[in-house]
Amino acid sequence: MNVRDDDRAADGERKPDRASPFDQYDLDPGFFDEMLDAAGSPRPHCRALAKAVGDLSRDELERLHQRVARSLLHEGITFTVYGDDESIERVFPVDCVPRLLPANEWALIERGLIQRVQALNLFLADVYGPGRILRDGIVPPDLVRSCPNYRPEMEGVKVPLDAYVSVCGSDIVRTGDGFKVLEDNLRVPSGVSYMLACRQAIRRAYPRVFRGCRVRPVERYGRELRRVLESLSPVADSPGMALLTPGIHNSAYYEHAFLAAETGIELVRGVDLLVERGRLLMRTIRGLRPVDVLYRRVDDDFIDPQVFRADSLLGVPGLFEVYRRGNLAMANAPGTGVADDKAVYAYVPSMIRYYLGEEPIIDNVETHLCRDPDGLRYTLEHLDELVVKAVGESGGYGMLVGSHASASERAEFAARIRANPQNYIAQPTLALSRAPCLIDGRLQPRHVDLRPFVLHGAETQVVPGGLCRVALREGSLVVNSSQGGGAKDIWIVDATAD
Amino acid sequence: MLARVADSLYWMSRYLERVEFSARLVGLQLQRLPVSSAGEIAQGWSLVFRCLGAQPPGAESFGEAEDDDYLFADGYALTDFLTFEASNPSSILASLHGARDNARQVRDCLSAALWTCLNRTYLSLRGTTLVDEWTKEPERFYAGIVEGVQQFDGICQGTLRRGDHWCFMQLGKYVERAQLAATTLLAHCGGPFSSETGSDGEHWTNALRACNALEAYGRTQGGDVNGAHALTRLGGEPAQPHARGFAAERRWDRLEAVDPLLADRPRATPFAVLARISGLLSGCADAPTAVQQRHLAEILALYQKFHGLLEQEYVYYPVHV
Repeated sequence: MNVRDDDRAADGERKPDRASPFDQYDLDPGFFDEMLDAAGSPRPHCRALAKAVGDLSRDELERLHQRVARSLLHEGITFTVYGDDESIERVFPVDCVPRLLPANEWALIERGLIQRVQALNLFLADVYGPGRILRDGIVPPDLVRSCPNYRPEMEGVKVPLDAYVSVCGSDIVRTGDGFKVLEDNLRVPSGVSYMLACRQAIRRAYPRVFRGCRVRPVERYGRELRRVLESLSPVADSPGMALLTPGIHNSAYYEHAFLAAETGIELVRGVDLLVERGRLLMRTIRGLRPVDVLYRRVDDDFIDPQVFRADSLLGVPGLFEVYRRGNLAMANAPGTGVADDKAVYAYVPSMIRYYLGEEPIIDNVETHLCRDPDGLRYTLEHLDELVVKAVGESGGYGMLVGSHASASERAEFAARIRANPQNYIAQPTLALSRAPCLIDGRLQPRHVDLRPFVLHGAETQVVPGGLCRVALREGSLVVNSSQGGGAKDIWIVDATAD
Repeated sequence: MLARVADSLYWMSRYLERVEFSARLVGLQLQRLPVSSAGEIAQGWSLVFRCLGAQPPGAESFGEAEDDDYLFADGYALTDFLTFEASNPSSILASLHGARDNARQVRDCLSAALWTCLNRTYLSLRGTTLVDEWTKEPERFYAGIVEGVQQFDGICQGTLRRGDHWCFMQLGKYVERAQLAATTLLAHCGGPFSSETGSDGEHWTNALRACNALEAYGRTQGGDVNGAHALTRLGGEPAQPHARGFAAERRWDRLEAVDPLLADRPRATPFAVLARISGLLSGCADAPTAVQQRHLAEILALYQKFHGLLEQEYVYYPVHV
């Protein structure tokens, strides 16, 4: 790597006479590297960081990494893995080298996401309302109505500001063709707390570089989220607000507690709530108090056993009726999952054209629907080149990465696809961009994606940053934390920052 | 504040108080090991278990433990049982786990510094085994646990708003403290050293130490410790931070702060219970041993009742839908 040599690290420490962490960095021309160009020089917006990191010895970088990991451990920045006998609570693995995006690239992502979230909200208002897009043949009605996350109970329900999706986390990848949206998370997207925790930890690790890069702040997320929730309230003054969590055993419990603290709203479980005379109430030490806005982090299925899953102990009997009557706002609205279904995803560019009359600013990844005979045939014929996903799964489960699978695994998966083609979509194996990560004491490239967070109420805004997920296993494309993935801080910086 | 949150904060504080008390007690016993006879060590372990209201391992097979039973006990095994044993719900690690679990339930209500302090103390203990500490300086290890809890307490004082959350944390702390102090007094009153002998003085000294009250006793009383004075200090002296009398006063304050309405109804049941406790305390110090024991036993039962009333009043109150 052609990092300018200097005997001082950016944070003012003497450069020890030891191997640079960039030694033996494998710069593969087949993948876009987020920090280095094809010649191995730092991209203009990464110069200061590359120099600071390159000036450290491997030992120093390892120590820095340990410091970051220790602070996350002590602060309890954890997630839960189900069925892990060793310990269900795990510290979120954060790489100590941030990923930088220049402001001009971010501007594109920002505009693209605002456009996308607006179109998705219009789509949801349409499919639970007049259904124009279905009648006009833009999206097949049977695809929507047969989707497991389509909630007929939502038909005709008046949603405040028509904001079905108030919090969105779309996954964006960079390939040789630029940025693409890989999927949208419109139900209960998680990860924003890890974004904020990563920022705290990494800012402490590189204080001078951070200041020098004029990184855009993400810390106002809590205030903005609160503002969005208030804007949905059916009452004007001092609405009662709460965040509904399944509890401490949920994989994202840390996030729920974090967001409740950041927004200053109560963190409630189903047992804290009850419905009385058409209102949702919470049990306080001074008796029952109304809840007007519920930021629910519980899936649709579990929010109300009287309407959805009868065996749910996580929700509140009668809650949906309160919502339907307009005495409660909920973020996100029930039924939003129909718009982030992996098969419906293929139609998002059409939705953007249909509702907004614009071309998508960020395109989708090419997607083959196995429910279509052509899509099925193509998928089965090119299984070794494709990534096949079950439409109802998430978290990296129920998928096949054809190029990494054995012949027998592909055959077994092909049988599953043939048995239930509606349940699968296929996408090309993407050459996801890579970024330097500290692995075994030296920097090695790993594949990354980006999940920015969009807030939508009276207006739509994107937090300048996001959660950069990393596939920590060599060659792996799976970035989910439950599957061995980790995260990086994302810095949005001026293109010329040095 | 949510009723469930109040309950979790209350229990978190109770568990932490138990951790501090247990760690101090075990640490003191370990300090005495090198300078005590076998009989004194056995009596020491017996008192430790009685002060904690606990039964030694295997008690289910031999019934109520006598001091002599501890003559044959292995100090390492007893220490491990009181500190790390997973099957002992009152072990220090189990109590710290309980505190952390309750803190996790209400993590949004705690400051980051508070949570980090508790989490770090827990992780440090979880990552340790007695083997690691036994051959070094185990007393220091227990002092470290006490310091961890005290640091938590200090951060609490410094970062937590004096509102409902604070009140329920204080309530939990003082209810637990009062019960542990009462159990400790009962263990000493009922023990073989209730007469004023040299050993009696030593054991009351240990009781004061366990309750972190020895230095304060020395400053105000001076000289040797005797049972009657120690009981007065621990039981009825409001200025003693670990005295039950003080604890009762503190709870009274907290109760008024939690619910100002209670101040207007001094006949409310929790207040009535506290009033009864205060009455028993004032009559305890100079009474004969048998009366002291009876009063202390009643006080313990009243604390249990008080705890139930708190839960009924603020957490599990009936709702008719």
